[in-house]
Amino acid sequence: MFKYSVYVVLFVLAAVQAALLPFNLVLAALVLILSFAAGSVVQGMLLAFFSGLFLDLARGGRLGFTSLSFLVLVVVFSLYQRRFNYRSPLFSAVVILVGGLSVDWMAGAGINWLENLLTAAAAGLLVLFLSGVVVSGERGKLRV
Amino acid sequence: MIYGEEKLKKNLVLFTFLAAVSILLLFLDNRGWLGFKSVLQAPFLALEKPLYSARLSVTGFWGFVYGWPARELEMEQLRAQLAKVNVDQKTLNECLAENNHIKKLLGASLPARWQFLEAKVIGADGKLHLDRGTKDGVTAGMNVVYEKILIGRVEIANSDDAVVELINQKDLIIPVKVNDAKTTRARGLLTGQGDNRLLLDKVLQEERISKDDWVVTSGEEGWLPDLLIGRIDEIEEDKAALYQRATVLPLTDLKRLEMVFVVIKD
Repeated sequence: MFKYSVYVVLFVLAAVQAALLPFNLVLAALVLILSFAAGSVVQGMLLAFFSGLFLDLARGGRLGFTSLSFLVLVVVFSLYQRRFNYRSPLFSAVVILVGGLSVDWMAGAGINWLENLLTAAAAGLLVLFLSGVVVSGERGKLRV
Repeated sequence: MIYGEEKLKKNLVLFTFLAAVSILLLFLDNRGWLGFKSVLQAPFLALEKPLYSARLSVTGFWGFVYGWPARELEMEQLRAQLAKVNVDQKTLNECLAENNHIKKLLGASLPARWQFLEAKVIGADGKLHLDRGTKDGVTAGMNVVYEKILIGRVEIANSDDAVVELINQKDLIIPVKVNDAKTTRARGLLTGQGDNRLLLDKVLQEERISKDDWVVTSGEEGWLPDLLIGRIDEIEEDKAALYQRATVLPLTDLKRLEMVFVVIKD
C-alpha cells in the first residue's frame, strides 16, 4: 500500500510545484524517499522515472526529459550511497543541490541558485529530523 | 543494497530500459507524435488550476497586510510630489505633455492584422503555463502579451496547454529600442535576470538614455515590434566601458498574471 501511496504523494507534489512554487519539491521528495523508504535500486529507478514523468506532465514540458534526468541522478545517488552516510543531512542536501542545478542547466532555462539552495537546506533539516526519528525508533526496538 | 553480479545486471537492464523509454518519449514529443499526452495531462491540469487561483488570492491577502507600511510611505511621497507639481506650473505642463504621450503610447491600438487568443494562466514555476495549446492554434515562438505589454514567448506548445518563457528568464535576449517622450533614442539588447528585473545592454556610449525612458521591442528575431516591456530604473555609470548598461523594471508583475493573450497571427 505504501509503495503506491508514494506515487500519489509525488503526483500531488508535481502539481503543487508546477502551479505554485519554483522550488524542486519533487526532487527533494525523491531523495528523501530514496534515503528513508525505498528498499532497492530498482524501486528507486522506478520512482525516479515516474516522478520525472509526473513533473513533465504537470509543467507541460517535453515528456521524458525530467524522468531521464532523475534516472541518472538516482543511479549516481545509489553509487555514492555506499560510500557516504546517505541518511546524513549534508549528503541529502548536496544531492538535491547538485541534482537541482544539473536539471536547471540541462533544461537550459538558467540556473536558479537561490531556489535550489533553499530546497536543499530545507530538505537537509527535514533529514536531520527524520534521522532522529529513525534512530530513536531503532533504539526503542532494541529495548523491546 | 548489496551489489551481486546478478543484481547489478538486473539494475543495468532496468536502467537501460527506462532511459530508452524516456529518450523515446522525448523524441516522440518533440515531433508532436504523442497524441495521448493531453489525456495524461488532464488530471494535473485539473489540480493545477484551483491551486494557482488559490495562490493568487493568498499572496494578494499577505501582500496587502505586509505592504501596508510601504504603501503609507508611498502615499506620503506621492503627496509631496503632488505639492511640488502644483507649485511649479512649468514642470506641470511638461509632465502633462509627457503624460499625454505615455497615454498615447499605452493606448495606441495594436496592428489590426494581429489576432489574439485569450489564455488563462494555470501555473508559474519560473515559466508561465497556459491552458491553450496547438488545438487552439498556439505554436512555439508566438508572442504573449498583456494589453500592449510583452510577457514572453511560447516555448513549448502541447495540444491542450503551452509553456511560455518569460521576459525575465535568464539567457533570454530581446532586441529593444529605448524611447523617451518623443523619439527613439537608442537600441540595445534586453536580458532577463531571473527576478523582477531586466538588464539593458549593448547600448552605444554615444546614445543618450535616461531614467524612466520606455523600453519597447524593436521587432527583430521573432519578436513583434513596438510592444512595451518596461522603464529604465538605473543606469550603470562607466564611461570606459564599450557599451552602456541599465536596469529595467517590467511594467507588469509577472508572478501575478491571471489572463494573457497569445498573438496567433501577425
